[in-house]
Amino acid sequence: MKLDISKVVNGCRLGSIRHLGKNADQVLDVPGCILYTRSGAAPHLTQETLETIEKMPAVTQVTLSTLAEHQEVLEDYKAGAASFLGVPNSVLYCSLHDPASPFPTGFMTNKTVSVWGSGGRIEMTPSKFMALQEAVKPDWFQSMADGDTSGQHTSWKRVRKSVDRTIVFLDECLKLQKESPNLKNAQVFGVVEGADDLEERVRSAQETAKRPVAGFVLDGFQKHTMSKELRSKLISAVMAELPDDKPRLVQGIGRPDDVLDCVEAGVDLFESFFPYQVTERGCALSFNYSYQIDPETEVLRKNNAVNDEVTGERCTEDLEGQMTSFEMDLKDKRYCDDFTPLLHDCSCYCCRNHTRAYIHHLLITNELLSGVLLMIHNFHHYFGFFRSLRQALQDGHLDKLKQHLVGHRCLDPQKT
Amino acid sequence: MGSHTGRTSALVLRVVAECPVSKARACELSLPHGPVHTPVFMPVGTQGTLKGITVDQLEALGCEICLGNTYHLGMRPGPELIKKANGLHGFMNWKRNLLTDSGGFQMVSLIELSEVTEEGVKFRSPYDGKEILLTPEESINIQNALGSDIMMQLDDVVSSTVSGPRVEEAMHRSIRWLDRCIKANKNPERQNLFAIIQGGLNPELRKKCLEEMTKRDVPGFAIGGLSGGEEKDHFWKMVTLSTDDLPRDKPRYLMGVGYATDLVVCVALGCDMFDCVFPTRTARFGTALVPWGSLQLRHKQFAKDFQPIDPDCECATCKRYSRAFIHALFKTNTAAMHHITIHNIAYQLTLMRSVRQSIVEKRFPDFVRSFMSRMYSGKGGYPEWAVEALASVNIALE
Repeated sequence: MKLDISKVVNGCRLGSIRHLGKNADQVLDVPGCILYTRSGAAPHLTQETLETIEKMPAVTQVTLSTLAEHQEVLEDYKAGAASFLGVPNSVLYCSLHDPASPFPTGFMTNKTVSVWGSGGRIEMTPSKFMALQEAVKPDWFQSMADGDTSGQHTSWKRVRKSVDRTIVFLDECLKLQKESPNLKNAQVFGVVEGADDLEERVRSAQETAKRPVAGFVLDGFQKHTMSKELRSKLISAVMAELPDDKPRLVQGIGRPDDVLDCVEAGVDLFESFFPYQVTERGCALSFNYSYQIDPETEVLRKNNAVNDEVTGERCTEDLEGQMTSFEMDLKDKRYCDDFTPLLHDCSCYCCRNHTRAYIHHLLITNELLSGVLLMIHNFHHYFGFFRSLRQALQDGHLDKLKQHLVGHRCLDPQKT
Repeated sequence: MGSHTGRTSALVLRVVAECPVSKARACELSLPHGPVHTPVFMPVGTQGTLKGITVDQLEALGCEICLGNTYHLGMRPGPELIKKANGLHGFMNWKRNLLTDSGGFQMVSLIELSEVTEEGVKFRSPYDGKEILLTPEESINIQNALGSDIMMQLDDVVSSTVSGPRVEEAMHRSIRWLDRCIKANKNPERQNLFAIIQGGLNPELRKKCLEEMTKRDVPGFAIGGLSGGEEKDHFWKMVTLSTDDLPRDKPRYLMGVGYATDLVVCVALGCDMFDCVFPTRTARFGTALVPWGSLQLRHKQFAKDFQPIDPDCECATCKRYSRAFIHALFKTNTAAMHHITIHNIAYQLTLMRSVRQSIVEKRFPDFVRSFMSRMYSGKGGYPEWAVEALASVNIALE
């Protein structure tokens, strides 16, 4: 794989990661996202419904949280997770944890990390971790890491320990990789830890950058209590220590405004768990990501936005699981007889074929199809956002995109 | 076959082939939303959706007609709203045919405190506790709003395990309700009202009901009251008795029947249309249907089974995924259910297609033999009721 950066605008890197996949012919554009899965498959979607989504990301994320419990099965299967999952030509990135499922703190040790599967906790040493990678056979994987620093009051000592352990784990993994013929083509991403401590962040970045890794994963920014300013400051500090020619993925960041902040701080790749979370709460992504102003559609959009906002679309801080200002709540009664599509200018399968009233009905009656249709729309919209972001960087209109995105203002909660 | 009153016929049945040995027929039904080739299995999409499957997927599976449920849709979102959406077709965006049942069955099966009078069925809504009366007129009113291609009369449903005077009362009332339904149908030129033959497990009552109902000018007949817990011995006898007295040139719809063996036998006995929640419901519990029985994919034994559900099946699930994959997926991703649902619908529709083809090619009895042999090999013999039922129409099993 090779990262080509064609342009850097205000700290944002625009480019492509090439030569991906079995035939080294797939490309992942950056800034971009990777496909979120649960047990290796897109949530709610079969291959047919998934394929209705245009221009899917070239890389799929699988997680050890959902695959670790199937280690024996994968080992017996021998041909790797992509093949087992029915997508043999997919490019797989294997991460430790599922970004949509928080894990309990206090279980990482000097020698092991744990993931939580459907049957409970699975503990792994670097050996077991690498054995799992051998079974999964991903194209990329993040090295084993201790990122258990999101507790309320993580002490400095604990943060330092997480950085130390993660480096040790990285060295172990690289050593084991050398000894494993099955993994010699897999790309290892080093993980930068450090919680909210600037010094530890820099130390972690420096140490990780010394190792022969193919890319970098920024962990520990999932904490909702970290201010945007601190986050950007820490990420920029980390990036200053990392080589330019290797991709940087940040874990646990999904909201479009957070994505923009991180892109400005130098991040290339994001996960796409956010559209899944939106789906699970019965909502549809509706934020405007265009930056080209067509006066006609602008009026329409403003009118729609007003109609959608006027009767109390909630805007709350983005606490876990709570609705954001980037989405519309289809369970709301006002949609029960709205026979327009979710978004009038969306070309996804759901918007081309179904109405808000129908989706509302499916949610009220607890029907499985609601998840299918919303997931299609939400992935489609999210991938469209990244495409628009790349185009805006190309055309030099990032500021316009930001304006439209952030301009989708939420109402003062007091007024509703 | 047009109607006598000169109005446009909303249903035309063409008998394409008849089995010279048994009572099986292969027909083509022309309905307002396209042709339906019978014998046909109709999947059930209760609340305006086939659980987890898009209309595109359903169309791609070759489904020509599926069911919607009047009781459920009448409650949520209600007939007025569906009318605004251009009927159930418009609401769910299904371009082919729809059949709606009357709501009667749900009255009896879902609601504990329902009371049947001559007026209709009185019950308490489970959603808001209000008392509701479902009359024949109201049922047809809702179905007119839904715009289904085939509507079912409201019948007085009695469980097949009940006997005695209640059965006779229900049979006679169903005839009176049929007349009320016929009168209430606002759209006979595009919505076909089917009568439902009742009479429980009593041959005399059934015959009486057949005699009366076939006097009415309805486009089709259903055989009702037979998909409950009755003994299979009684079941098949009532089915064959019913088809004996139903007109050749109108479709025969056996309600609530969906197990593969039952389908094949009842085709032999002269039935054309079937519906059942079983294949789609059992899919959501992890059970995949196959020509030799079923696979409970959530069981440990499938964890490392890397074959597809059925190596001979051409459905999207079997072409791409293994039993082990679906087993692994089940706990974290609803897609696992969808994969099995697609397979099970494909299984049912393919079965019916094969049945039909064998009738057209005059080799239906051989098909039955080979089907039964595959299904029951190693299972200690054929079910007796099936052997008898098939023998009654001259199909002998080895």
